[in-house]
Amino acid sequence: MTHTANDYYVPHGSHWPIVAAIAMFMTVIGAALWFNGELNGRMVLFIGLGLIAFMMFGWFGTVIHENLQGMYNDQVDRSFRQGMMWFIFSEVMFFAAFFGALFYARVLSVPWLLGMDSGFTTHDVLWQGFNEAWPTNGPGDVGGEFEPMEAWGIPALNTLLLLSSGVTITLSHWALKVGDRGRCVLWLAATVLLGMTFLGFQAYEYIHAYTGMDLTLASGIYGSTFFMLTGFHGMHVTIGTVMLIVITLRAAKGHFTADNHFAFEGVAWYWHFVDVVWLGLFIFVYVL
Amino acid sequence: MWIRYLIIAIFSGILLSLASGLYYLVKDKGTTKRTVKALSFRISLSLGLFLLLMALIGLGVIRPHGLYPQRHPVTQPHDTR
Repeated sequence: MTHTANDYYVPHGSHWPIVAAIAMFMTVIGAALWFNGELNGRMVLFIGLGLIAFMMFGWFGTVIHENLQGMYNDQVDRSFRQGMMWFIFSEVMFFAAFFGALFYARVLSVPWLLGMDSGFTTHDVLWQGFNEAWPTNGPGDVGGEFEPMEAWGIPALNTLLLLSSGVTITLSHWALKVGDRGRCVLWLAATVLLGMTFLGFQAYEYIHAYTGMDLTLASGIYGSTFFMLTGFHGMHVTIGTVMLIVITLRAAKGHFTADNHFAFEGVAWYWHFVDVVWLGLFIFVYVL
Repeated sequence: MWIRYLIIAIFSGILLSLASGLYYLVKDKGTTKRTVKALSFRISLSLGLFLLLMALIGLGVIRPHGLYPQRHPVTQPHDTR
Protein backbone atom coordinates (compact mmCIF):
# COMPACT_ATOMS: atom_id res chain seq x y z
CA MET A 1 0.00 0.00 0.00
CA THR A 2 1.38 3.41 -0.93
CA HIS A 3 1.20 6.29 1.50
CA THR A 4 0.06 9.78 0.74
CA ALA A 5 0.41 12.86 2.90
CA ASN A 6 -3.16 12.41 4.16
CA ASP A 7 -2.91 8.74 5.11
CA TYR A 8 -2.17 7.86 8.68
CA TYR A 9 0.85 5.58 8.68
CA VAL A 10 -0.04 2.25 10.26
CA PRO A 11 3.12 0.44 11.33
CA HIS A 12 3.80 -3.00 9.92
CA GLY A 13 3.91 -6.00 12.28
CA SER A 14 6.99 -5.35 14.38
CA HIS A 15 8.86 -7.80 16.60
CA TRP A 16 10.56 -5.00 18.60
CA PRO A 17 7.85 -4.54 21.28
CA ILE A 18 8.03 -8.20 22.29
CA VAL A 19 11.85 -8.09 22.26
CA ALA A 20 11.65 -4.99 24.50
CA ALA A 21 9.21 -6.71 26.89
CA ILE A 22 11.41 -9.83 27.22
CA ALA A 23 14.56 -7.70 27.61
CA MET A 24 13.06 -5.56 30.39
CA PHE A 25 11.59 -8.61 32.15
CA MET A 26 15.00 -10.32 32.16
CA THR A 27 16.75 -7.14 33.35
CA VAL A 28 14.40 -6.61 36.29
CA ILE A 29 14.23 -10.28 37.30
CA GLY A 30 18.03 -10.54 36.95
CA ALA A 31 18.58 -7.48 39.15
CA ALA A 32 16.11 -8.75 41.77
CA LEU A 33 17.78 -12.20 41.87
CA TRP A 34 21.25 -10.66 42.05
CA PHE A 35 20.34 -8.31 44.91
CA ASN A 36 18.89 -11.26 46.79
CA GLY A 37 22.11 -13.21 46.55
CA GLU A 38 21.29 -15.47 43.62
CA LEU A 39 24.50 -15.66 41.57
CA ASN A 40 22.80 -16.52 38.28
CA GLY A 41 20.90 -13.25 38.65
CA ARG A 42 23.86 -11.25 37.40
CA MET A 43 24.02 -13.35 34.22
CA VAL A 44 20.26 -12.91 33.62
CA LEU A 45 20.67 -9.15 34.21
CA PHE A 46 23.49 -8.83 31.67
CA ILE A 47 21.59 -10.87 29.06
CA GLY A 48 18.61 -8.54 29.63
CA LEU A 49 20.80 -5.44 29.25
CA GLY A 50 22.36 -6.87 26.08
CA LEU A 51 18.89 -7.50 24.68
CA ILE A 52 17.87 -3.91 25.53
CA ALA A 53 20.91 -2.59 23.62
CA PHE A 54 20.03 -4.86 20.67
CA MET A 55 16.39 -3.72 20.78
CA MET A 56 17.33 -0.01 20.92
CA PHE A 57 19.70 -0.40 17.98
CA GLY A 58 17.12 -2.28 15.89
CA TRP A 59 14.04 -0.25 16.81
CA PHE A 60 15.74 3.15 16.46
CA GLY A 61 17.08 1.96 13.07
CA THR A 62 13.59 0.98 11.88
CA VAL A 63 12.03 4.31 12.92
CA ILE A 64 14.88 6.36 11.39
CA HIS A 65 14.61 4.36 8.15
CA GLU A 66 10.82 4.84 7.96
CA ASN A 67 11.21 8.55 8.67
CA LEU A 68 13.79 8.97 5.90
CA GLN A 69 11.51 7.08 3.52
CA GLY A 70 8.93 9.84 4.08
CA MET A 71 6.36 7.49 5.62
CA TYR A 72 5.50 9.87 8.48
CA ASN A 73 3.05 12.71 7.94
CA ASP A 74 1.93 15.49 10.32
CA GLN A 75 -0.45 13.21 12.16
CA VAL A 76 2.37 10.76 12.95
CA ASP A 77 4.47 13.70 14.10
CA ARG A 78 1.68 14.65 16.52
CA SER A 79 1.55 11.06 17.78
CA PHE A 80 5.29 11.11 18.48
CA ARG A 81 4.96 14.34 20.45
CA GLN A 82 1.99 13.07 22.44
CA GLY A 83 3.86 9.82 23.09
CA MET A 84 6.74 11.90 24.44
CA MET A 85 4.35 13.74 26.76
CA TRP A 86 2.94 10.49 28.22
CA PHE A 87 6.40 9.01 28.52
CA ILE A 88 7.57 12.04 30.50
CA PHE A 89 4.44 11.87 32.67
CA SER A 90 5.36 8.28 33.58
CA GLU A 91 8.95 9.37 34.28
CA VAL A 92 7.78 12.14 36.60
CA MET A 93 5.59 9.65 38.48
CA PHE A 94 8.52 7.21 38.67
CA PHE A 95 10.85 9.72 40.30
CA ALA A 96 8.02 11.17 42.40
CA ALA A 97 7.67 7.74 44.03
CA PHE A 98 11.33 7.66 45.09
CA PHE A 99 11.47 11.31 46.13
CA GLY A 100 8.22 10.63 47.99
CA ALA A 101 9.87 7.73 49.86
CA LEU A 102 12.74 10.04 50.85
CA PHE A 103 10.36 12.76 52.08
CA TYR A 104 8.24 10.25 53.97
CA ALA A 105 11.30 8.89 55.74
CA ARG A 106 12.86 12.28 56.51
CA VAL A 107 9.82 14.38 57.30
CA LEU A 108 7.46 11.83 58.85
CA SER A 109 8.77 8.43 59.92
CA VAL A 110 12.14 9.45 61.41
CA PRO A 111 10.60 12.30 63.47
CA TRP A 112 7.93 9.84 64.68
CA LEU A 113 10.65 7.42 65.75
CA LEU A 114 12.27 10.34 67.56
CA GLY A 115 9.03 10.86 69.46
CA MET A 116 7.84 14.01 67.72
CA ASP A 117 4.21 14.79 66.92
CA SER A 118 1.89 11.88 67.47
CA GLY A 119 4.72 9.36 67.35
CA PHE A 120 5.82 9.76 70.96
CA THR A 121 4.52 6.33 71.93
CA THR A 122 6.54 4.70 69.14
CA HIS A 123 9.61 6.28 70.64
CA ASP A 124 8.79 5.68 74.28
CA VAL A 125 7.54 2.14 73.94
CA LEU A 126 9.58 0.69 71.10
CA TRP A 127 12.74 2.71 70.42
CA GLN A 128 13.76 4.59 73.52
CA GLY A 129 17.41 4.61 72.55
CA PHE A 130 16.78 6.15 69.15
CA ASN A 131 17.74 9.82 68.94
CA GLU A 132 19.28 10.37 65.53
CA ALA A 133 18.13 12.82 62.92
CA TRP A 134 18.94 12.46 59.21
CA PRO A 135 21.06 10.71 57.97
CA THR A 136 20.23 7.79 60.22
CA ASN A 137 21.03 4.11 60.28
CA GLY A 138 17.60 3.50 61.75
CA PRO A 139 16.47 2.33 65.15
CA GLY A 140 18.30 -0.68 66.52
CA ASP A 141 21.20 0.05 64.13
CA VAL A 142 19.43 -1.82 61.32
CA GLY A 143 21.61 -0.04 58.79
CA GLY A 144 24.88 -0.81 60.58
CA GLU A 145 27.74 1.68 60.66
CA PHE A 146 28.42 3.79 57.60
CA GLU A 147 29.62 7.18 56.50
CA PRO A 148 27.08 9.46 54.77
CA MET A 149 27.96 10.70 51.28
CA GLU A 150 29.55 14.15 51.17
CA ALA A 151 28.10 16.94 49.05
CA TRP A 152 31.51 18.39 48.31
CA GLY A 153 33.82 16.45 46.05
CA ILE A 154 32.33 14.11 43.47
CA PRO A 155 28.61 15.00 43.93
CA ALA A 156 29.32 18.74 43.51
CA LEU A 157 31.65 18.01 40.59
CA ASN A 158 29.03 15.76 38.99
CA THR A 159 26.42 18.51 39.40
CA LEU A 160 28.75 20.92 37.61
CA LEU A 161 29.37 18.33 34.87
CA LEU A 162 25.65 17.76 34.27
CA LEU A 163 24.87 21.48 34.35
CA SER A 164 27.67 22.06 31.82
CA SER A 165 26.12 19.37 29.63
CA GLY A 166 22.83 21.28 29.94
CA VAL A 167 24.65 24.35 28.60
CA THR A 168 26.27 22.42 25.69
CA ILE A 169 22.98 20.76 24.64
CA THR A 170 21.33 24.22 24.69
CA LEU A 171 24.14 25.66 22.54
CA SER A 172 23.67 22.76 20.13
CA HIS A 173 19.91 23.40 20.09
CA TRP A 174 20.46 27.07 19.20
CA ALA A 175 22.98 26.08 16.49
CA LEU A 176 20.38 23.75 14.98
CA LYS A 177 17.73 26.48 15.04
CA VAL A 178 20.01 28.80 13.05
CA GLY A 179 21.04 26.01 10.67
CA ASP A 180 24.68 25.68 11.80
CA ARG A 181 25.20 21.92 11.50
CA GLY A 182 28.91 21.97 12.41
CA ARG A 183 28.42 23.68 15.76
CA CYS A 184 25.30 21.62 16.44
CA VAL A 185 27.31 18.38 16.11
CA LEU A 186 30.27 19.78 18.05
CA TRP A 187 28.18 20.77 21.08
CA LEU A 188 26.29 17.48 20.91
CA ALA A 189 29.58 15.58 21.02
CA ALA A 190 30.65 17.70 24.01
CA THR A 191 27.36 16.80 25.74
CA VAL A 192 28.00 13.08 25.14
CA LEU A 193 31.50 13.43 26.60
CA LEU A 194 30.21 15.25 29.70
CA GLY A 195 27.50 12.59 30.19
CA MET A 196 30.08 9.80 29.99
CA THR A 197 32.38 11.61 32.45
CA PHE A 198 29.45 11.97 34.87
CA LEU A 199 28.80 8.22 34.66
CA GLY A 200 32.47 7.43 35.22
CA PHE A 201 32.54 9.58 38.38
CA GLN A 202 29.32 8.04 39.64
CA ALA A 203 30.72 4.52 39.19
CA TYR A 204 33.79 5.63 41.17
CA GLU A 205 31.54 7.13 43.88
CA TYR A 206 29.58 3.86 44.20
CA ILE A 207 32.74 1.76 44.47
CA HIS A 208 34.08 4.16 47.11
CA ALA A 209 30.75 4.03 49.01
CA TYR A 210 30.74 0.23 49.08
CA THR A 211 34.42 -0.34 49.79
CA GLY A 212 35.52 2.73 51.75
CA MET A 213 32.41 4.01 53.54
CA ASP A 214 30.36 0.86 54.20
CA LEU A 215 27.46 2.71 52.61
CA THR A 216 25.40 0.09 50.77
CA LEU A 217 21.84 -0.61 49.68
CA ALA A 218 21.43 -2.31 53.08
CA SER A 219 22.46 0.79 55.11
CA GLY A 220 18.96 1.42 56.41
CA ILE A 221 16.59 3.98 54.92
CA TYR A 222 19.41 6.42 54.09
CA GLY A 223 21.39 3.86 52.07
CA SER A 224 18.39 2.44 50.27
CA THR A 225 16.91 5.84 49.29
CA PHE A 226 20.38 7.11 48.31
CA PHE A 227 21.09 4.20 45.97
CA MET A 228 17.54 3.94 44.60
CA LEU A 229 17.44 7.64 43.67
CA THR A 230 21.00 8.07 42.38
CA GLY A 231 21.05 4.59 40.78
CA PHE A 232 17.87 5.06 38.76
CA HIS A 233 19.03 8.53 37.84
CA GLY A 234 22.33 7.03 36.61
CA MET A 235 20.34 4.57 34.52
CA HIS A 236 18.50 7.51 32.93
CA VAL A 237 21.78 9.29 32.21
CA THR A 238 23.02 6.10 30.52
CA ILE A 239 19.91 5.86 28.32
CA GLY A 240 20.13 9.62 27.61
CA THR A 241 23.78 9.29 26.59
CA VAL A 242 22.94 6.46 24.17
CA MET A 243 20.18 8.59 22.64
CA LEU A 244 22.53 11.59 22.46
CA ILE A 245 25.06 9.47 20.54
CA VAL A 246 22.30 8.47 18.11
CA ILE A 247 21.20 12.07 17.46
CA THR A 248 24.84 13.24 17.19
CA LEU A 249 25.36 10.76 14.35
CA ARG A 250 22.03 11.75 12.81
CA ALA A 251 22.84 15.46 13.05
CA ALA A 252 26.22 14.79 11.40
CA LYS A 253 24.40 13.02 8.56
CA GLY A 254 22.11 16.00 8.11
CA HIS A 255 18.87 14.34 9.24
CA PHE A 256 17.63 17.49 11.02
CA THR A 257 16.56 20.89 9.77
CA ALA A 258 15.74 24.06 11.71
CA ASP A 259 12.00 23.29 11.47
CA ASN A 260 11.98 19.49 11.41
CA HIS A 261 13.89 17.85 14.24
CA PHE A 262 11.57 16.08 16.66
CA ALA A 263 14.16 13.41 17.57
CA PHE A 264 16.67 16.12 18.46
CA GLU A 265 14.21 18.15 20.52
CA GLY A 266 12.85 15.06 22.26
CA VAL A 267 16.33 13.91 23.33
CA ALA A 268 17.44 17.44 24.25
CA TRP A 269 14.38 17.94 26.44
CA TYR A 270 14.89 14.51 28.04
CA TRP A 271 18.49 15.50 28.83
CA HIS A 272 17.27 18.70 30.49
CA PHE A 273 14.80 16.60 32.50
CA VAL A 274 17.56 14.24 33.68
CA ASP A 275 19.62 17.31 34.58
CA VAL A 276 16.79 18.78 36.69
CA VAL A 277 16.22 15.45 38.45
CA TRP A 278 19.92 15.46 39.39
CA LEU A 279 19.67 19.00 40.70
CA GLY A 280 16.73 17.85 42.85
CA LEU A 281 18.83 14.93 44.07
CA PHE A 282 21.78 17.16 44.84
CA ILE A 283 19.59 19.50 46.87
CA PHE A 284 17.48 16.95 48.74
CA VAL A 285 19.81 13.95 49.03
CA TYR A 286 23.22 15.54 49.43
CA VAL A 287 22.75 19.11 50.71
CA LEU A 288 19.54 19.83 52.67
CA MET B 1 14.78 28.46 57.34
CA TRP B 2 13.93 31.17 54.77
CA ILE B 3 16.97 30.02 52.76
CA ARG B 4 15.32 26.62 52.31
CA TYR B 5 12.19 28.31 50.99
CA LEU B 6 14.28 30.41 48.61
CA ILE B 7 16.06 27.29 47.28
CA ILE B 8 12.73 25.49 46.83
CA ALA B 9 11.21 28.57 45.12
CA ILE B 10 14.08 28.75 42.59
CA PHE B 11 13.83 24.99 42.05
CA SER B 12 10.10 25.39 41.38
CA GLY B 13 10.95 28.04 38.77
CA ILE B 14 13.28 25.53 37.12
CA LEU B 15 10.51 22.92 37.05
CA LEU B 16 8.08 25.43 35.53
CA SER B 17 10.46 26.50 32.76
CA LEU B 18 11.21 22.83 32.00
CA ALA B 19 7.47 22.05 31.83
CA SER B 20 6.86 25.03 29.54
CA GLY B 21 9.62 23.68 27.25
CA LEU B 22 7.71 20.39 26.95
CA TYR B 23 4.47 22.25 26.30
CA TYR B 24 6.06 24.23 23.43
CA LEU B 25 7.69 21.05 22.11
CA VAL B 26 4.28 19.42 21.77
CA LYS B 27 2.40 22.55 20.68
CA ASP B 28 4.80 24.27 18.26
CA LYS B 29 6.17 21.11 16.59
CA GLY B 30 9.68 22.53 16.22
CA THR B 31 8.62 25.51 14.13
CA THR B 32 9.31 28.20 16.73
CA LYS B 33 12.13 28.99 19.15
CA ARG B 34 9.92 28.89 22.23
CA THR B 35 11.19 25.43 23.35
CA VAL B 36 14.87 26.37 23.13
CA LYS B 37 14.16 29.71 24.84
CA ALA B 38 12.37 27.98 27.74
CA LEU B 39 15.21 25.48 28.07
CA SER B 40 17.81 28.29 27.96
CA PHE B 41 15.97 29.98 30.83
CA ARG B 42 15.89 26.65 32.69
CA ILE B 43 19.65 26.09 32.42
CA SER B 44 20.40 29.70 33.43
CA LEU B 45 18.25 29.35 36.56
CA SER B 46 19.87 25.99 37.36
CA LEU B 47 23.38 27.42 37.09
CA GLY B 48 22.33 30.35 39.28
CA LEU B 49 20.90 27.99 41.91
CA PHE B 50 24.04 25.85 41.89
CA LEU B 51 26.27 28.91 42.38
CA LEU B 52 23.98 30.14 45.16
CA LEU B 53 24.18 26.73 46.90
CA MET B 54 27.96 26.69 46.63
CA ALA B 55 28.16 30.25 48.00
CA LEU B 56 25.79 29.43 50.89
CA ILE B 57 27.79 26.31 51.77
CA GLY B 58 31.06 28.26 51.43
CA LEU B 59 29.78 31.03 53.73
CA GLY B 60 28.51 28.45 56.21
CA VAL B 61 24.87 29.55 55.89
CA ILE B 62 23.80 26.00 55.09
CA ARG B 63 25.67 22.95 56.26
CA PRO B 64 25.18 19.79 54.18
CA HIS B 65 24.66 16.77 56.38
CA GLY B 66 27.59 14.92 54.92
CA LEU B 67 30.00 17.83 54.67
CA TYR B 68 32.12 16.95 57.65
CA PRO B 69 32.45 13.22 57.27
CA GLN B 70 32.82 11.10 60.32
CA ARG B 71 32.05 7.50 60.92
CA HIS B 72 28.32 7.21 61.46
CA PRO B 73 27.85 6.93 65.21
CA VAL B 74 26.15 3.91 66.64
CA THR B 75 22.92 4.58 68.48
CA GLN B 76 23.58 6.80 71.44
CA PRO B 77 22.09 6.46 74.92
CA HIS B 78 18.53 7.62 75.31
CA ASP B 79 18.19 11.35 75.63
CA THR B 80 16.33 11.97 78.85
CA ARG B 81 13.83 14.70 78.18
